Amino acid sequence: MLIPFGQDAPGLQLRAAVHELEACNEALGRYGLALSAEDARAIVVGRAEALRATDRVEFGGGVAKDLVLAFAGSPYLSQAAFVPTVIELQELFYDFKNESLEQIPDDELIAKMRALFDDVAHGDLGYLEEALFEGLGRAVREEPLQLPVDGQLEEEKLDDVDGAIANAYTLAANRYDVSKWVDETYAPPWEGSSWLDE
Amino acid sequence: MAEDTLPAPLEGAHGTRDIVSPRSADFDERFLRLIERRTAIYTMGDSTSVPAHVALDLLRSICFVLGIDPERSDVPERLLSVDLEDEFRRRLADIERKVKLSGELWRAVVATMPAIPSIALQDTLKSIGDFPRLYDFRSMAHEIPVSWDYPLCHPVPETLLGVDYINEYLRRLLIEADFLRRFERDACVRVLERTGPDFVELLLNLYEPVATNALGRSLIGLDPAPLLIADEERAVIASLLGPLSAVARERALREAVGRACEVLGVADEAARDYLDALALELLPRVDVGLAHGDLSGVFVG
Repeated sequence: MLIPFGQDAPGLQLRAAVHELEACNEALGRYGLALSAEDARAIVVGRAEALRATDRVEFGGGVAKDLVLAFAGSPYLSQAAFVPTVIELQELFYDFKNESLEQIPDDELIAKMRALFDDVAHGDLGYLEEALFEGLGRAVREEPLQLPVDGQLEEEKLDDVDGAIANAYTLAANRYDVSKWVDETYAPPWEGSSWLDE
Repeated sequence: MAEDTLPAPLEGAHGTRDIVSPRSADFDERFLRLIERRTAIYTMGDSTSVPAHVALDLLRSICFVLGIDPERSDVPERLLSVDLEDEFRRRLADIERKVKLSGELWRAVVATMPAIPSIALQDTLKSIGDFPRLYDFRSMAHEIPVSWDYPLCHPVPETLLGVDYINEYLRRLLIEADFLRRFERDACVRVLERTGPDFVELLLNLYEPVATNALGRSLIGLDPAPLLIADEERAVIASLLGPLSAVARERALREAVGRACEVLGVADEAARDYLDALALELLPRVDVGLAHGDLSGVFVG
């Protein structure tokens, strides 16, 4: 296979991810947090394991950086708990992406995770997981189709209808209508009526 | 049937052979950037990750567009020194043109196909009519998002993917339709009824029985148009082919192809090759029929 999906990500991606995480230190400093090169590698390795466990593929630096920056301001995270928490958050993130059938964009999911982590779970990852899967998951699955305000979806539907009408017209214009042929030529002699009557 | 006896698929098919070379680290890096970008376009920037099966489909699509065999570790040499993004866009535009050709071929088939009833053909044509609308050539170019039940006389090679498969399918179907329209519909229907009384509902190719009988009549110097072959005509075919060697039988059948095409006005070389390929397929059936003294299973009447 040209690109070995499912195996270890190419070194290029790993280096990019570690570099991206190390670049977060300036922002993390504001919350009294820091990531060493070893921490960054641990997060990246955790990411690869999470992707493998959830059967997903990610390109570029991935969401690790976004998770780190989003959760850095949580009052429930200390320097000691930061890296293990981020590693677990990554796993939860990819797992939920699968569970939500890809319907929640990355940034929206991260924002919801952060809000639940602080306001509902109060820093408890187990509770966060429960809240996510029981609440958000159900909402995603049961949410009715949202029609866009500008009616774009309606226009697309109309286009589909137009296409179907055009196709039907082409078929009809060229006599390609099976019911006509049946009426003309296909009345089984033993019954004297069209087989369509059956 | 041997696929290589048929004319090559439409121009630019992605199965064309390239000189391949081992990948370089530089190529891998550029290719990875391309996959990353195409994934971002697929998710509309909403997600940096996708399920593995989607990633695999995106990879297959990119490979199809670029003309890379995803099962091989080497790549076409021409890709090693080009801007992959530019090359991808250029070839995507080629695919877009092929999709337009699909629409033209589809309309041509519908306009040409005589009104011989076949549920499978009807459903297949309806389904393929939606191909340009359903085909996501930007992200899933290797897929064929329509169903096609109707069996061709000479199936399209499974190595063709996406729009290449559909265009080749339509091209072959157009050859069949163009051949069938040279006969009276009722004559075709009579042959098909004798081939299979339930032919309307069965997954049965319409061209093969009609063309076979046309060849049978040409073989003994008759006008192919009436199509049906009477017992005495079948006996003449048997007496003609029976004493011949295998090579001579093949030659006789291929000569019948030439005569049939001449009488019917089939000038297109691809259509002649298509019929010629059928003649070659008939040989083993003719051999068996002659061995049992009965050709009614080959040439119906």
